Amino acid sequence: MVAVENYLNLKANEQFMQLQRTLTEVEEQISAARRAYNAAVTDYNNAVEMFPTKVMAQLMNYKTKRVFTVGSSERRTVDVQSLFQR
Amino acid sequence: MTMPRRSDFAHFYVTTLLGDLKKLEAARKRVARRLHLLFITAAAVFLTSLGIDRGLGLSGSLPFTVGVLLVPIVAFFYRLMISGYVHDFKVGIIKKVVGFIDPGLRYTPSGHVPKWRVVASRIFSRHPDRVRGDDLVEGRIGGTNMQFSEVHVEAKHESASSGGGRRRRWSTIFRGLFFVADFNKTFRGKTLVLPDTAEHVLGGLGSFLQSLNVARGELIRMESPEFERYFVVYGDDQIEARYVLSTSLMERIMEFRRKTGRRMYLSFVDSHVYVAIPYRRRLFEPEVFRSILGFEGVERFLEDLELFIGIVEDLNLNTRVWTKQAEEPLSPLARFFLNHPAGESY
Repeated sequence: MVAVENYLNLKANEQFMQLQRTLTEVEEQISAARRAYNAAVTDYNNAVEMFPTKVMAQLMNYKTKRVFTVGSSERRTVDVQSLFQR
Repeated sequence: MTMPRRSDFAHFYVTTLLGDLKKLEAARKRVARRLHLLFITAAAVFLTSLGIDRGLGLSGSLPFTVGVLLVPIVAFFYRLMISGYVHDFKVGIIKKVVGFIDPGLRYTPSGHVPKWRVVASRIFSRHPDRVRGDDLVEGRIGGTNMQFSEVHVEAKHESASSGGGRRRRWSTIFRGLFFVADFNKTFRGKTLVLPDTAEHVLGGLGSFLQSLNVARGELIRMESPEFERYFVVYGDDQIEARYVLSTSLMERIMEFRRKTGRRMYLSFVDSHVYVAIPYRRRLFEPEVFRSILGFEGVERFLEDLELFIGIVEDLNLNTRVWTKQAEEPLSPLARFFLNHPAGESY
């Protein structure tokens, strides 16, 4: 009986570790995508505001875009507990 | 892994290395005496030819011919005469210093990072035709398999000679330290981090020229201006390159660059990280014409080794918080086949 319990414990722990890893992974992937997006926007904005591309941008009515920023409420670490309690 | 302390190494030097160093010092003196004799003989032969040339009233063709013949002969004997001593030194001293840093590491004096690894790194824009080298250190630091050695990477040039045959010439692509380790994240593409020369000198124009270098892949502009000042990044995926080069890794790379004060080439290909650091001086080679008994000499080997082994820690490769976990340690047989794949001469 004890052995089974221990085993269950171990398995849950393993799953938790896996979950933790997945969360870090997802965060890193999102961060990478956000940085890539922002780099593209910055490149675009520079082109829109700098001569000679500025002339073309004005002719075609291109406006500068806003970079993607994350609010402080979204920056919090993921609350795994609330996920389980739903 | 924490690096051993200096005081521990001083103790290790006195208790373990000094005895061997004294024996090797005697061998070194013998070699040095023979080399002096070799140089004196060569000089005497050259001067004699000069004298004969003058005596016969030739126009200096004799000493020229003798000089051209002497240089490779002396070089050949030089290498032959020091080889035994150098090998004994490496087995006796360098191997022990490697073991002192981490007993799990293996050191092979005549081994080097295999050619296929150097090719796979994609660091060099010219295709490496020949890779030679020595002083292979390999093993596992924490959960990371790594391998490094001194390498000499060369390209082959063949041209038809006047006699109808082919003339083969080798040119150096890279000489220095080459390091490989498995990376702590999984990815499929390639990302190159190269020293930034164009942007450094030419500013905005340099950056424009870099974007035209299509053979390397897409130019990837990183958001850190400091990182961009020292490095230029190429890759085949804008997002993946940023997944690999997280902000913390970029800081760690810059920190490592500051620490070494050297140009460095990095690449991230198929979940591996490759680091190439050019060196003019030979690494892990003992002195021949100066005493090897001093602590400073041995300490330098320790510092070099710690620097290279420390790449794993410096780039934080042991942090396995992402879905990729530590790989199993390789069996000796698997390691052999990895280092000597079929079709490569060794």
